[in-house]
Amino acid sequence: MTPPPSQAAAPASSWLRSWKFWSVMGGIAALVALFTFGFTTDPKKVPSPLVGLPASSFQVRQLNGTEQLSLAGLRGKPVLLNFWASWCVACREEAAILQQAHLTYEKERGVLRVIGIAIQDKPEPALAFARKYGKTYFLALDNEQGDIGLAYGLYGVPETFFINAQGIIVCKKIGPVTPEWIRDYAERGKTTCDQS
Amino acid sequence: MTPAKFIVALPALLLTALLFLSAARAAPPMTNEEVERRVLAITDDLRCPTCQGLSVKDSEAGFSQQIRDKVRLMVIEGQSDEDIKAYFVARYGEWILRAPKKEGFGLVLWLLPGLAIVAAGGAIFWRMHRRAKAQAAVPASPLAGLTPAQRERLERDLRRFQEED
Amino acid sequence: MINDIGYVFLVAAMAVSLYGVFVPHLGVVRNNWNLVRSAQFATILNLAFVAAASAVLWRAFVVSDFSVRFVWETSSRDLPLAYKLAAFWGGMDGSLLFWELVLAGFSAAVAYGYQRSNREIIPYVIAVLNVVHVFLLFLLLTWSNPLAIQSPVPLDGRGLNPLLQHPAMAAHPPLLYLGYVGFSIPFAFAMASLIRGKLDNDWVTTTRRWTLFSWYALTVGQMLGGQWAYEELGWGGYWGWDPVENAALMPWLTGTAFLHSVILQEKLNMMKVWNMTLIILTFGLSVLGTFIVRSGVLNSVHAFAQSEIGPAFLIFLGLMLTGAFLLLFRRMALLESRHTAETLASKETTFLLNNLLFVGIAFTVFLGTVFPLVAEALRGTKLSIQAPFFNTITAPLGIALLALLGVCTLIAWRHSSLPHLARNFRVPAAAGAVAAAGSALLGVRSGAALTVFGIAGFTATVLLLDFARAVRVRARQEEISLPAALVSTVTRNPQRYGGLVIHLGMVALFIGLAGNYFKQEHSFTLSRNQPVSVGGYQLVYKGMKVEQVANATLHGAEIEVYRNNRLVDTIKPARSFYPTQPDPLNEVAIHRTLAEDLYVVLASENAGDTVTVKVNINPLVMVAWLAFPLFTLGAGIAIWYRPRRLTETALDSRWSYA
Repeated sequence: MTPPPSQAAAPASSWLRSWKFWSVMGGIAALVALFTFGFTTDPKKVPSPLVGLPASSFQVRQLNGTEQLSLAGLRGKPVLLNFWASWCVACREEAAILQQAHLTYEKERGVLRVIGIAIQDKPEPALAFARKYGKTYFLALDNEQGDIGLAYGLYGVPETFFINAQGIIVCKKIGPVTPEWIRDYAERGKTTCDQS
Repeated sequence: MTPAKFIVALPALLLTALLFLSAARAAPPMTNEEVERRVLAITDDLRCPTCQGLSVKDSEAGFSQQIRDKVRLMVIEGQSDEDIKAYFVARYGEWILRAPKKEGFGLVLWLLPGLAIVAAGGAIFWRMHRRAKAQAAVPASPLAGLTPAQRERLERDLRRFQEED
Repeated sequence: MINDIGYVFLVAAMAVSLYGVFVPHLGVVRNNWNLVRSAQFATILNLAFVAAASAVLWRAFVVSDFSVRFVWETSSRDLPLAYKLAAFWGGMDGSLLFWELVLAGFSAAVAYGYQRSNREIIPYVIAVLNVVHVFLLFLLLTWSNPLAIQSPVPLDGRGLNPLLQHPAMAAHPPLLYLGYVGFSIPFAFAMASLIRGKLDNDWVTTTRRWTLFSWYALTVGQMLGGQWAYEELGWGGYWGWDPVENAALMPWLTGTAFLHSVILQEKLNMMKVWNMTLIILTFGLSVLGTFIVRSGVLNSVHAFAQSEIGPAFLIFLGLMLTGAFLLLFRRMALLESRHTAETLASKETTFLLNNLLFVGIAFTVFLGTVFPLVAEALRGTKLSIQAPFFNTITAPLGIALLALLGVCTLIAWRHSSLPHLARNFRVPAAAGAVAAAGSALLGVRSGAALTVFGIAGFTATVLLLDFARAVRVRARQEEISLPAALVSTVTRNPQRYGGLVIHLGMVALFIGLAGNYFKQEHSFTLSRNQPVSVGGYQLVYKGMKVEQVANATLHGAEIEVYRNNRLVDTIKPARSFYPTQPDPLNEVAIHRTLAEDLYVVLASENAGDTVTVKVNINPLVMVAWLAFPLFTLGAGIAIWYRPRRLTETALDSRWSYA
């Protein structure tokens, strides 16, 4: 048995010109374009509204030492403010980078203050982490209410803020910090922030 | 009024004024239940920053608990719902709200579904109305030329048509 | 060695699928039916090859062969056998192979079962299905190979995420895939009809049972997902409006709209273009759903890690949608029906409204899911769109659908006179008012819940009265007993009465969902033997019990539940500690009655032999689960129905055009 012939189609010129056809095609194109854009962004990285605003001050007592520190009191020198925790796996790899920044920019050249605040953590595990991964710079604990973390809009660790000498937050880094990033702000005086 | 009396009267007046003002501002203290109810309502509108899809109200994660406690403190302090949410938006971004504000760009999201449905419905029924009018313009009814027997059979068939889906 | 043989099977499957794409058209053009038959056979052969490759992967799971990277990623030696088998779809690569396996099975069934019927379009049905096969197999052979080998071979696997070690979670993906893939069949038939220019209703009647079956599978798949979320995640809800949940909901919504509007096409030759559009959308949304899960473009609980196959899926989706709509527009002028709904007060209108509401809800869900991306693209800000948006917009639309269900059953085809309508309205409306008032008397204060109960009472009464009347009429006409009349009524019109049972299930589901409007949430610290009162129950904490269950350590708090001073249950909310996970999982304890669930989560074990628990009173959850047996019964009755037209016209000429 042979398959029957197919029904004639409408002349192509008519439907190819219809606005319905082109709006459907436009819709498909917009959808594909939207998701292609989606490939270029990371849904996990949320830009912080605090960039460009004065950094919120806080008072903490040093965990690995005796110093009492107030962030407002550090004005005049830029601050690298890092948030970490002993239970945070990604914080392990950035510990060495931060320590190196401390040695180079703080101890050697005296142009930066490096501060690490541990959140949702306890003194013993925090100190153990610091000892194990070689962090000797100023470390402190956030209180149980997480006041410092809340003030900085923290939603994970590690997160790092670069605060300039006037106390303005210049940039926020989500995830482990890189030597490049630190150099951009501490040495090259970068003032723009790419938060993607 | 002598200077001496003035020196005594002024602080007294100021103190009275202050007491009066503070009494006027201070609302009656909230009961525990009221505080908790407001905390539940506010935290239901904030997303848990470390979870997927959960509100601060429903989540037991560390950050969520801290945000909940902070909200409770702010409610007890007497801050309004709007101020409390604005506090978190200022630090986390609009992302911390579980639904965009009903203003500006977010308004598009809230209004679009309703508008789209009404527009589509309107288009469909207007087209129906137009077609029905065009069909009504046809003068002769096909039912006109039926015999009574045919008409009865038609009714019977139509009834059967109704029963079966 | 054997794993490499599995890969060779996939290569063979690709070869026969490519054959099945091109040869059917060749057969049509050359007027050679044997070529078409060979393509049908190739499709059946594809199933054999894919099944063989799947068997190889299952073997690797059973013997814990960790040289296969996918087995290492999703299984471990101590995993119970049932979950080892279910881990097949516990990760991206395996789930893609499972998708291909289900599609291969359905394609083979179509190739075998429709060898003689549907002759005109079957060549192109085969071709379209094989196009999808080629795409999936291409991914399986390149970036998403589940049989990829790794070396050195680790001693033990990473283990299946403990959250997934739950029966509902094991069954949830296969059922969803049965649904997604099932909708490919009506899609293929629709495309084949368009390619061939055969524009009658045969594709609809032929694929009706496929559509019903797919709808049922998607429905149950999602209900199982909800049940799992409720019992495992511990936040007391069952639907989170997560992007991947939405990805499964959208094709379900358009698929349900499609199920209803094809009735208009079969009965009245209406909505032929719209039905084509609906099936294209349904299939497209299924592919979009897969894309969202695998691409990492949207953050989701379900999303597999970002991978390279995201762009491939997007390209496939774009090409498929473009091709399908090109085909539709080419034939659109000839498809457009002349018939239209005559008056507003007719069943046709309610069907149109049904479609409008379902597609409107689908649009809302779609908008909420992609809006964060749109906002980021247009304004650079990140937004969250979660339950508050979705619930606010979809709840009134859903309630409108519930009311529409009742009105549609009351109203007649073509035209219903208003006095007639009002007369039939009276009893159900009264029943609805009684239901709402009764609920208010029982203590329900939420206006939204009372509205739902009132409308549910109205609709349920309409449905039951309609059924009762039909049974009574049949009993009188055929002079048989009522039970016999009941059977006779249903068997004479299984589609209508199967549908009625499903609709009753919907009413039950809505009643259950309305319980969310007046649920209670509490948190307590319990000390041993100190009773605590909550919502009419007294809870007494009796102590902690630690035990080893399969591959986890369970810390359970024994709690006795009293009501009216009588012990009604002993529940054990627990936390499971798995060796592969740092944080424990919640094992929720639920005491269920028809009226409400007492839902207890163990939040923490404290010093001094006290425990902190979260207690929810969730009303009417059991009523919502009642929908499940009703859906099963109704779908079973309706699927059993064989379209009369198909059997009657077996001898007629098939070459009828619109």
